[in-house]
Amino acid sequence: MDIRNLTISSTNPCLLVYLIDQSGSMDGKFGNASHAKAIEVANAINETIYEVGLRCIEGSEQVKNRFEIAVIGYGKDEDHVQSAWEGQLKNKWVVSINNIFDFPLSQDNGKPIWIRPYHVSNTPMTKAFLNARKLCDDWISWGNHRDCHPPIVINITDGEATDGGRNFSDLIGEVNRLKALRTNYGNVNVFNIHISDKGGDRILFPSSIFSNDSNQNLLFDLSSNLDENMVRIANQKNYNINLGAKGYVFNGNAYDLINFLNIGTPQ
Amino acid sequence: MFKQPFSFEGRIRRTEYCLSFLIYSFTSQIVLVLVAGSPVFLLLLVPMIWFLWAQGAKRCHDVGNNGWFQLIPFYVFWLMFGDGQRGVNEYGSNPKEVGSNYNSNGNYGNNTRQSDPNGYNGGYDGGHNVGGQNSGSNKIDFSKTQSDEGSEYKKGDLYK
Repeated sequence: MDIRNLTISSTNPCLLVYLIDQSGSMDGKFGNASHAKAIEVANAINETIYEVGLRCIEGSEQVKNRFEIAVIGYGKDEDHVQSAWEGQLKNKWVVSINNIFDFPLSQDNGKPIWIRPYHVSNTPMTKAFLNARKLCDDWISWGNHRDCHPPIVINITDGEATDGGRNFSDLIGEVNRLKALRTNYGNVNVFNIHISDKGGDRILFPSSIFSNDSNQNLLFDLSSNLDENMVRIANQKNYNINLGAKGYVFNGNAYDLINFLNIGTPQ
Repeated sequence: MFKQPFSFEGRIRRTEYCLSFLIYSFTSQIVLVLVAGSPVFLLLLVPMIWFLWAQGAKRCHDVGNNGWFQLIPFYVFWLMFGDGQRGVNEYGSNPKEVGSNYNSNGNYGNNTRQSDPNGYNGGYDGGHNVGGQNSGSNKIDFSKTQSDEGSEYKKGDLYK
């Protein structure tokens, strides 16, 4: 089936999974900003959820359930991984956008927020991808989801997995198993937003990469290609990219971060 | 309730189906008494049956079946008393969940909005609610403050 003919709707929703690095290193400053990376990431996800919800409002301000969202945090407690929803949504995994809009944690400058920033412990990224795989597998098997847009998994991290195994083989294996899951419209997409402490020029949606940073190379390799629709949206947002570009951003600024999350969210 | 009573799309709850059944039974009796034998009877009967079948089809969807299932003899009792499927199914969202809240047990439940212990009532209001307290995402203590950590994802946790 051709994904170009697919319309995301309340009967054919799309699953978005955000993996958030909550390890201790996320307390480092975000670029030249005075606040921590964890704050910027939480802000970007809150902003994106809000924009996704607004896109789903129709008619009498009812939020249509076109998207279902899971937010998985890793590194908040030793090597543990857990759902990052809080408040009334605590311990929920997949929540429909209409229910998400029903239960914001609070408001910030008149906008609802759902996710709070944390930076605590290790970086169990492999385990986070394992959780994402199990969740996506269940989601695809549920109801008519095989006829839906394949899930989009967006991992936001600043560092190296502490449970990646020898030469990160465990991490690579887990991500590849996740990417092998598919609906009738294609495979699960895995995108990476990499916020590095090491500095360096920002790299946005590259189709190839030349770097001495093994971690950068790894996250680039693990990222799926942007599909045709995403490339179109990226071009609309003035990113000059072509088919073959990967869903990978290195050291993007806050604007890039939000744009990336929007580009990764099917329209 | 009764938002699109003549549509065959979507899902409805038991209550709406039972009420529809009562409405149909009551109305058909009245029509039968008043205009039986006249052409008007047929004119009135068609929308009434359409209404009953449309509501029946949506209730079938709610229990996870095709609308044609309502033609099975005695299946109407299952439609009246059977539980709907939780979460989203191929016919749409659970009508119990749409516009409702999670109850205090973490389950979907009713349309009574739960109060947040911190005073926030939930429900985005288009940014006009100046009474909502802004805890300030940038002002909280970033260290881990909650002792009741959740567990990892387990099969079946999808919409728990």
